[in-house]
Amino acid sequence: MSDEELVLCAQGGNADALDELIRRWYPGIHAFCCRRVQSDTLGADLTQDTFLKLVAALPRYRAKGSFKSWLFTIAANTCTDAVRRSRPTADLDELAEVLPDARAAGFAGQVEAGEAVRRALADLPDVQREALILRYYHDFEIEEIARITHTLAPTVKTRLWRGLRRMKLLLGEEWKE
Amino acid sequence: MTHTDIPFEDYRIAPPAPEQLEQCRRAARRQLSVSSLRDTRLRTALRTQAEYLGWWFWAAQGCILALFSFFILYASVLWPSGQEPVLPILAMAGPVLTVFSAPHLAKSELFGMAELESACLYPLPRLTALRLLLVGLSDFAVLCAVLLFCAGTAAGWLACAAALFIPFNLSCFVCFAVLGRLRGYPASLTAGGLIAGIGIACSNAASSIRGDVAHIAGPLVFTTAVCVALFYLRIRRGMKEAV
Repeated sequence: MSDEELVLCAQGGNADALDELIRRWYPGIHAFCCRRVQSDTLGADLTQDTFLKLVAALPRYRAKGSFKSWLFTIAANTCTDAVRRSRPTADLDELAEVLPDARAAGFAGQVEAGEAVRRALADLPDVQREALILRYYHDFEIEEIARITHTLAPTVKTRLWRGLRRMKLLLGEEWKE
Repeated sequence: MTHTDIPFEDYRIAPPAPEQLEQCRRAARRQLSVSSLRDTRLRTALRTQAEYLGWWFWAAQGCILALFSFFILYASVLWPSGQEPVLPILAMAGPVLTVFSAPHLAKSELFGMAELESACLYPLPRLTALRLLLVGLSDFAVLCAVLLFCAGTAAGWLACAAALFIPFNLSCFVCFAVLGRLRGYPASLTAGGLIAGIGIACSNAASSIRGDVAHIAGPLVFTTAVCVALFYLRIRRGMKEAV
């Protein structure tokens, strides 16, 4: 079944359809939230909040755009609210917890480069980080990002360009060190 | 500058723990069980639309059925068998029904029906399709009921069906053509005028088709097939508008 059909079923109160949607999209939303707020613990909480908001918003859903865009819009709004409430910073203790998991998952060699990218992303302004994550981790088109972030396509392009330039600078400095 | 200069793929997020997914699933299920979700079943949507059509629409349908049934019974009693003016009367039934039904469809296309859309939580094209389905089925039922009253007359089933359905089909074509292009009272007036013309013309023509059954079947089947196809396409297009 397509996502849109599952949403229709969920709108009718079908809990199994909702389960299937959560199973399909939990990993993607979890990754987005964790990258967006730069915290695994907060990311997991925001992922759950996103799906609870999805349930609350089900009656308003109209399948005019894709379900993926709609879900990511909810996730992006949830993350933006959380960031506004308390600006999160990278928690080194938490990072120490995550790194062994990452190594156990089989990408120990990339952890250092990944950490550099993470730090560079963390240094970006929120809007640039959000645009870069949506574009390069979740493969959204510029117009879709504009819809998700409630802005215009040229603004998204500018944010992406500035974000890339800043990241390149930051990574260049970090790698030099 | 391109993103390939930056090793985005190296920054990976550890997959979520299964217990996090399970916890989220349980919370969402709990939320779903207490949420006031809309009922998206077709029968609920049709019932809602039937209520919104208003009592006078259904009263008009009942009155038209009673009126034409009475005319036919009256004609079969007063006129000698085989000479009743059944067909000209029947030819007026379809256009009269359409004239009463068209404003309900025009209304839903005209005013945006924002209050209806928000009340039912359905997109407007779907609402219009639901109304079309209701009105179409109701008109068809009334015409079939009128046809049953023709059993006592000498006019013959096929001639009666042709006299009922050909004008009705032509009236529907007019409705589809006019309502899709014009808005508001000009649409209702144009459609009403054209349908009245069709009714009068068909009524005049119906008196001359008696005994000429072989020539009736073709137009009856053709116009009915086109009308059903148009209904189907319009309803399908509207129903495809997701909720």
